[in-house]
Amino acid sequence: MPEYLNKEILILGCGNVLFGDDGFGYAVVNKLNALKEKIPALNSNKIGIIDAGTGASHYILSLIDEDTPIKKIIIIDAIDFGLKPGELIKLYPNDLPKIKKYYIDAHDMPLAGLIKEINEKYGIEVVVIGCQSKNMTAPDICLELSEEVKNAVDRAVEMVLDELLK
Amino acid sequence: MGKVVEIHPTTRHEGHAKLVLKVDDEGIVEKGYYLSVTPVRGFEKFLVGKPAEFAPIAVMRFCGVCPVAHAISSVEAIEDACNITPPKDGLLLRELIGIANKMHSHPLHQFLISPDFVPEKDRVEFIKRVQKMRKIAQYIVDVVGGEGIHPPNIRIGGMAKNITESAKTKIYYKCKEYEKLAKEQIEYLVPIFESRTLTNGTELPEKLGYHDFGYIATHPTYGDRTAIDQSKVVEYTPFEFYEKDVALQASTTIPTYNGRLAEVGPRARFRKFFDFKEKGAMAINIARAYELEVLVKRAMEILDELNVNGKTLSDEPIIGDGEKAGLGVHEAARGHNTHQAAIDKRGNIVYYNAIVATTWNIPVISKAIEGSHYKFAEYVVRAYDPCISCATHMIVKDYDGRVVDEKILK
Repeated sequence: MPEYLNKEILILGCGNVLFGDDGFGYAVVNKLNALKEKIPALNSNKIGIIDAGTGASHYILSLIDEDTPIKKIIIIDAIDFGLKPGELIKLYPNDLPKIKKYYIDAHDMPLAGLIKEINEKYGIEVVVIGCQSKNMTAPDICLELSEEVKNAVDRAVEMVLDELLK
Repeated sequence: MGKVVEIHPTTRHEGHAKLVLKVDDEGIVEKGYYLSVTPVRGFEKFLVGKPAEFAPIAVMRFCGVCPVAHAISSVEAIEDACNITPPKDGLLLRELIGIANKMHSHPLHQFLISPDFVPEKDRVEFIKRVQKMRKIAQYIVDVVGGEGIHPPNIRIGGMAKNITESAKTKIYYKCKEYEKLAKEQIEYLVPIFESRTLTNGTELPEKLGYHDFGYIATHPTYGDRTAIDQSKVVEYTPFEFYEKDVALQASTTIPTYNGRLAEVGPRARFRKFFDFKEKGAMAINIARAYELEVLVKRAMEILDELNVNGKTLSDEPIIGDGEKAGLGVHEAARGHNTHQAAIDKRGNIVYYNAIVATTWNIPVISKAIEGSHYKFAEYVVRAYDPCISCATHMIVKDYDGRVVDEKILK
């Protein structure tokens, strides 16, 4: 199986860097990679740091099964919860919606459903670090994060480190 | 009198689309329209002015399913524009990662259509096999590409890194395993497709999905820009092709080759390179199944040919004349995928255009569903494994902060 499925902890930066604040997950992953040398907790073979873009459900979550040694997944993503732009929130599988899935394709896999399933079936701990977005520009292209969301990147990095050191 | 049947969304394929079917009193489709309803993203425009190196990075975000296919088409187009020739081992590795992408994508499609064709009693075993194949294929993308989802090793001028001897051995060993699984998959699926029988016992019409359009394929496993004359490709807007009420809803162009619509994908490749003459929707599923074996065999050949100490990346400068539109052709899982790029003397993009595989197939699907009962249209659509575009997912809470929902930006 792919190397990233052989890790104990996976850090997934989700979202599309082309659509404004949807690039938040990517920005955090970038920062984590840059800090690898300085922070020993990040520089471990047991941890996978991945720019998962829009492919996390398709290329990672749907491939997890009883053979996968993953114990914990930290997902970093932009959210729209009506909070103040840049506000961070931690979500656990129980906070996620029970979506009655109306149809399934590889672009449209029910992320919440998959997260719950791998949590319940394989006992994998999942935490989502969500950042309230200001500008989700899709379908228009914008390569910049809003000021508020950009300012949240360092705090999100700290939240990831807290999760790692738990 | 007849009536119009709309099916929206169409299910178990990639992306957002709808079917608009004008049917007669017996329910037979007289006019069929398969339409992409995903908004135009405009990548071609925003890439202009950006450095050439940004193109593969950006186009990998076209879609959450085919980053590899788009990156390959993009780097090939820029290399053509800048007269860069990648080293042999770089090209071999690039072909290998493209093959692995298809080795992953085809079983995924077979999983998506399994509720139609795989009886309940076989389902678990079938899905287990699909998952084993996907894992192997994704392992290859991960190792060769440097990362599984947006492989950074696919570069203008070749591949950023070679693989180690031990990675080569591991991939070879896994390909052997895949070959076995592919054979099982073919032995299982092909008789079902040949019987044209759905899990509920319904027999699909023999001529379901027949059409008389052309086929485009340039290479059995990779892509070859010399095998196509791009000057014969003309793109029409939906307004030039559909009735106005339909055109208003469509968001893709209609490309023609030599004035004809053309099908792309596994069946087109099989017609061109393997003397495969079968027609209809089921023949596409059959060709896709057989292709699993073709792909894994070629992957093993590549590993035999590959020199793990060889150079993989050209050091020629990434600059063009600002005029030549380079052409990148890749035979992606869903077919002939082309990108075109012109690069100026400073290395910036001055022109970009992509005609992706499904753009070719959309108007063909529209026509291929005509003449059969509308209840069979969905099996024609899925046979093409269309990939329209991706959606952005968000998790949403209401203002009370309690009820959580999912929102999809289409």
